[in-house]
Order: sequence, then structure tokens, then C-alpha cells
Amino acid sequence: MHGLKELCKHRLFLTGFIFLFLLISFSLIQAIFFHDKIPVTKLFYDNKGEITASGPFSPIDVPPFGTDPIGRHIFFLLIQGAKYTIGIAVVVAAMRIMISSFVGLIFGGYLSKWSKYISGLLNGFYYIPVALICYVLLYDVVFTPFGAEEQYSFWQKAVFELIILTIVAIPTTSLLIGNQINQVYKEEFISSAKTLGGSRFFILKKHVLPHMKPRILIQFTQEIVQVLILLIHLGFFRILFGGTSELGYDPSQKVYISLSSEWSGMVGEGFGHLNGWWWTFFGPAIAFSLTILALKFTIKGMEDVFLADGLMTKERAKGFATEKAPQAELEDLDFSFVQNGEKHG
Amino acid sequence: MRIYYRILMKFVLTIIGIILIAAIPALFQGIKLDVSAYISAVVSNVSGLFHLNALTISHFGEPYPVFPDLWERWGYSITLIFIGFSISFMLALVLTVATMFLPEKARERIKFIFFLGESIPDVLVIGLTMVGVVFIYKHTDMLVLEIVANNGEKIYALPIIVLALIPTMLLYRIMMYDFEEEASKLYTDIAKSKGLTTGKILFSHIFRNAMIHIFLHAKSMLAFLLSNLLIVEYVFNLDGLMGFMFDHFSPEILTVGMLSIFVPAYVLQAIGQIIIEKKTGRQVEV
Repeated sequence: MHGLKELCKHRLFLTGFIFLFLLISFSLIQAIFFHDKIPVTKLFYDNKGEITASGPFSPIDVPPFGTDPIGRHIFFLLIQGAKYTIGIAVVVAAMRIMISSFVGLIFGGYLSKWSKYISGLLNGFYYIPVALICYVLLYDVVFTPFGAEEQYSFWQKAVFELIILTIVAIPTTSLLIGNQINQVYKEEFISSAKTLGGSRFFILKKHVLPHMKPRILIQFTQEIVQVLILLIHLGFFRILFGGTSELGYDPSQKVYISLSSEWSGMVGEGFGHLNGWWWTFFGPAIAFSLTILALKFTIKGMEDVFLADGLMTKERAKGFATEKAPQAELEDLDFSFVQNGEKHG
Repeated sequence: MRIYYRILMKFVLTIIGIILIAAIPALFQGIKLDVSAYISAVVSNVSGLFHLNALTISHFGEPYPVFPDLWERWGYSITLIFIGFSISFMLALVLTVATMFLPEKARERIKFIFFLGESIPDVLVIGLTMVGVVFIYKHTDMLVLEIVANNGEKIYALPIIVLALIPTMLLYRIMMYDFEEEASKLYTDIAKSKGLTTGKILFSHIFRNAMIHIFLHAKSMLAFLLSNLLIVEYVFNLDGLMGFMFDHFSPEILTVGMLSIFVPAYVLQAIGQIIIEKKTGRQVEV
């Protein structure tokens, strides 16, 4: 794919990419070399060895993100959870894009006549939040009420959740990619290629796919963002990756278990303590925000580099308010009287 | 006539789609697929639509009729969305017009700030507002806004603020893009060379043309607002339509809920579509 060099010079893209790269590297380094060890600060002592304060500590006492109710440093928990959360998002986004590209290819290339009807049928997806569909589909499997027996193993739940998170987006994403492919088929160079005798498969391989590649890459990154947002919402609804177990009837004593320090679980858990230990919520929420921001930076970079068609109009819009309209300086020489049939100067 | 045919066809297709989508929960029994249950859910969805008054939810084990209580919840949710959207639309419009008067450099900077703001997850915004209100309460002993609705009372201010915040930034980006796109077109140059002022061009020409593009984004904006509303109703414990669908997610309830949002929204969309197509002569899709 051309444009990689320009991409490396794009400041926003670099910022986002380096942030994500470092975050995932740290997460992996912590797992491989430090065996996911989390520093713990439960109590503060003075020089005589007497207890002066007990946790959880705010970010002021234990920078940068404070500690959770059992004394673990939230910063390290977030580093630990990064690989799971981002990993889940990347896996789901990749599956979404692979399936949708395939469906979209068939749809855009062969079924474009039906596009009106299919988009009409799928129009309903605009009127219900995706998080609600996921919640409805996942609730029975993922949620184990207090006292009930676990029906499914961790892996069954995890795979089921991955599948559900993938398929809820397949119809709309397929339609999107299908429409884009359909647009490409309408381009002039495709009709030229057809006139020159290119077969359907040849045109697809040589013209349509190269055109679609950057778009699909951008869509892939966008899907990662979508999945991350969906994960936050589901974490809020206590749909935790790998299962939610309710331990206790009393709402204040409910404990929810998720994959070790997966971010969405931490957000949901932290929100319950918002008014006491606000940092247990804002730590993971900020981690999510920064990751989403970094992904958006890379999307912006790719859009600027790969889809530069709009560049011309953007240039022209720049001086809209400040620039004056081009005005020609009128000189005497430009006009002359012709009334009398004779010319002056 | 063709336009009315298209609008009607989309209406019918979407309703069929909604009935099919709302039955999906029946497709999964645990982690297994159950196609026959899905088909019977589709059938009962359709028959349920003709017997709305017989629709019940289980309330502490007792059957409880859904209607007419649903209308109140629906009205509450629609009010929140409508006011939230109107506020964010107005704000975004004012901001867009204001930034269009600024020089290029300042404009780029403001756009970047909004780009950052737009990336904030709604959950973080909700957390920040709640902590903010509590912080003010602790330090001044004054409860500026009601944080949580008790016993089904209706609160408006805080949910609307939270609902409007991120869509404002989203709309601002869309508007800026369309306004700049319009500003770069040739007719703007012609208007300028004829001596029209920036303000005059902005309001009488660019505004009108940009609005058409923005209208076409309305559907995705609504989807975004609905997803925000779900979180807002959940967090603030509001007794609205989204929360109701969340608590009682049977295929019939989902069908009724989705239709009650779709039908009024589609009427507005269709009116907009007719106006645009009559005025411009172009075919648009909503």
C-alpha cells in the first residue's frame, strides 16, 4: 500500500500509534517478565511503624491512579488489563471486518439490485442501541445469579461473547462495505477495464480490491473504537467478559468477577464507588478515553493520507472568511471609448 | 409519485426488519441456536402488534399490562431526546457559524479541541457531571441539579445536559465539514466577487445547502442519542422507554419499543426528504 512514508510523517498518526504500541508493549512486558505482579499498598506507616492511614488511597497518596479497595495500584492493573481489553477489541473488529468484507463483496458486486430492499430491512438497527441488543443476547449466558450454579465454562462464555459482539455489527458493516464496493464498480476506470475485456474476477482483483484496501483498514480501526465503547457500556451493565457472578443478595455487597483487570469490568465496578473512591472509576475511564483517542488519531492520519481526494476542496475552504475575492485592478488601458468610432491611447 | 412510493416501501421494509430484529433474543437458548423458537417469536410479534392491549410484563410474578403506562415512559424518553437534540443542534450551529468567521489557524485549533472532546466516552462525561454536582453540593450545600430520580419522579436538567454534550461536538464536526465544503464551491467565489459580505453568503447560501447534508446525518445522530439515552436512563434510574426495554427485554416489548421510536422519527425524516427532493430535484436517501 502506498502512502506508508507519508503516514510516518503524520504527527497525529505517530502520536496515536506510539501510544498504543507502548501500552501494549508494557502490558506484555509486565506479563512476561514480571508475571503480572501488581504492587500493593494497603496501609501507611509512620517512622515508628504505626499505622497512620488505610486504603484505598487516592491518586494524591499513591500516584498516578491510586489504589483499589484491596490495595492494588490501579495504574498497574490498567497496564495489566490493556492487553485483554485491546486484544478483545482487535479480535472482534478483525472478525467483523473479515466477515463483512466477504458479505459486502458478494452484496456490492452481485446483489446491488437488491440493495434498496436489504438496506430497508436493516434500517431497523438504527432504532435500537447495539449495547441493548448485546445485553439482551448475553444476559442469560454471562450472568450467574447468586446461589445459582455456573452453567457454562469460562471459555464457553468468552467465545460466545466474542461471537455475539461480532455478529451484531455484521449486517450494518456489510451494508457499508457493500455500498462502498458498489461505488467503486460505478467508477469510470471500471467501465474502461470492462470494455478492454477484463473478466469479473480480474477487475475485482486488480481494480476493486486495491481501491478498497485503505478503506477497509480505516473501517477496521473504527470498528476497534466501536467495540471498545460497546465494552464500556456492557461493563456498566455488569456484562463482564468471561462471566459475571453475583456473590450476595444485598446490592451493596454484590461482587462481580471478570477476567483479571479487564477494563470494562473495572469501569462498571468503579462507578459503584463514584462518590467515595472516585479514582477507581476515573482511572479505567481515562484509560479507555486515551486508547480511543489514540485510535482516532491513527484513523485521522490514515484518512488524511489514503483518502486525500477531499484535499483540494479543503485547501480552497481555508481562506473563506479572511481572503478577499480576487479583484482585478482596472486601468485606463483596459477600456477605451468606441462611441465616436475612434480609439484613444 | 415515485418519492411517496419509495418512502412507503422503506417504511414497510423497516417495520418487517424491526419485527425480525426484535425476535433475535428468541434465537439463542443459552448458547444454542433455536430456529423454531425464533420463527414462533416472529409470529407472536406480528400477532402481538394487533393485540397491543393484551401485552403484559411480569411484575413480581404477576402479569401487568404494558399499555397505557408505556406512553408515559415513551413521552419522557422522547422529550429528553428531543430537547437534548435541539440544544445540541442550536449550540453546534452557533459555534459553527462563529468559527466560520475566524481565520484559518484559529479555526483549525478549535476543530482539534472538539475532535478531542468528541472522543470522550459518554460514561466518562456522566461520571464527571455526577462528581461535579456532588462536589458543588459538598462545598456550598446547594444541590444544583437532581442526580438520581427516586420513585419514578421525572428529572430533566442533568440527563439533558449529559445527552446534549457529546452530540454537540459530533454535530459541530459534521457542520464544520459541510460548511467548509460549501464554502469551497464555486458559487461562493462568485458571490464574493459580486461583493457580498461573508455573513450574507454564510446565512443565505451556505447555510441552506449545508443543512441538506446535515439532515442526511440525522438518522445516525438519532442512533447515537438512543445509545446515550440507554446509559443515561440506566445511571440516573429514569423511568423511560429505554430503561423499560432494558428491564423487560422480550421480543414483543422490543418490537413495540423500537416501533414507537421508529414511526415518529420516520415521519419527520420523510417530511424532510420530501421537502429536500421538491426543492433541489435531487434524490436523497434518509
